Amino acid sequence: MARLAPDAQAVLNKIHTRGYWQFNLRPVEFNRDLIRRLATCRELVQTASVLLRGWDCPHVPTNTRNQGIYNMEDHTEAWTDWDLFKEVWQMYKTGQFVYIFGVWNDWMEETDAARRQWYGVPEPGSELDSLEVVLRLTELVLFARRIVESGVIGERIYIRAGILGTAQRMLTLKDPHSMGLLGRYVCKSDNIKLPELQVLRGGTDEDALNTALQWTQLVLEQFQFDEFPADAFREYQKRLVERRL
Amino acid sequence: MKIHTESFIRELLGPGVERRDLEFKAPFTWEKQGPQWLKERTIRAVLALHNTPSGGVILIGVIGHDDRPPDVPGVSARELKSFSNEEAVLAEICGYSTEQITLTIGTGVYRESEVTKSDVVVFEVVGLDELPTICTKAGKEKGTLAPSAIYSRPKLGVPASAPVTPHELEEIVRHGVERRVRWINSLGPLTLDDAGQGREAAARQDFSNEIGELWQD
Repeated sequence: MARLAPDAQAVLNKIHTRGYWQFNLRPVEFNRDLIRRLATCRELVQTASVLLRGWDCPHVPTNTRNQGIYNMEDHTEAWTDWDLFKEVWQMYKTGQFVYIFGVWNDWMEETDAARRQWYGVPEPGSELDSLEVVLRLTELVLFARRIVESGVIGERIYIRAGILGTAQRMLTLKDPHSMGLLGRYVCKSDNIKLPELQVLRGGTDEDALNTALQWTQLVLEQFQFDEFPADAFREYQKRLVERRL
Repeated sequence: MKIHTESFIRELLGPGVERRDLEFKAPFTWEKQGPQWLKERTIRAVLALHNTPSGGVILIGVIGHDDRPPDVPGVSARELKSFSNEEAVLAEICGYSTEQITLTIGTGVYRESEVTKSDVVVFEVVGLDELPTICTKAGKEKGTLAPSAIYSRPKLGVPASAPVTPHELEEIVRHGVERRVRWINSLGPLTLDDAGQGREAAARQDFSNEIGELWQD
């Protein structure tokens, strides 16, 4: 049973009130002391965290207001409740990492005026930005790749992800250089589960991008968006990794 | 020795030029008293062909020219006989090679006219498997074989057995990787035995218990 500190539990409860992502990464074998020191758990996440567009994934807090990071009995835990960023993660000494974070579209009311003006304030639960899907999944798989490349938790790991609270959401494309999506693509399922995959040490960033692209396609399929424009989404990935977003 | 048909030899010599997979060598004897430099240049050609994806053929008894068709004086009966102990020839070549070379030695007749015919020796070399061969020691003659050299024949340009350029080296690496991937794929999906599956399932459950309800299925 996960044991969250009260602050993290409060943020998790808040995240659960709207749509949210979940991401999980784990080694193949269960060893309670795979990572001996909790400081290593924190350092591992800190080092592997992907910062390509102004907000790190996962976010590693600095113990300032509205966020926290600390050691628990067998894991390091972090939470953030600032602006539209609602996150909780845990990194265990077994090498397992779990990350829960709110769908950004659902928290626009808490962001600054400039972003609200540009992005709009959609009704929580009404939209999912396809651009956000591909960028988030790319960041998550790159994070997983960095973790496995560290060699700390073995030569291969399992990753899985999902989005909850998706029923009746409409797919959007919030790209200022695009006309957006012209059709109406709506999700019928309330829980999008992405298949568990293995990430092997010695892979390339290109492998990670391909994995993220496959996952993106699976998400978009749930919105009845069947003609997946792989090249266009690959271009978004390219701009992300080249920090051109 | 393998006997090749006249048409096989004619096809090889027909265009009259060397190619990436075809090298000519002037007649010589493999015996110790023969010209060492020519023997060592032939060994270099074998190593180079081994390091190309398709391998190739060396025709001994043929003198190539840049500006006209090759002369085919062929080899004498004594020279031909010097190649008949295939194992000894191969052993000598492999003495310069880190990898086992697959080589078939044969002979064939080239008939230039009704009355003029010549015997040639045919070295058929199998090309790259996974690893390139590396030359293990220097030749006795200067400029023939160098230790640690990787010989190949160029993908483009004048055919010659020479140390690899970056283009051929890249080709060798790619070829080796592709061969290994094909081999792994030929094994079929990786599966775990019952014990392995049991361990993985138990680990999955332990990990699931660890995060509990934090993960929603």
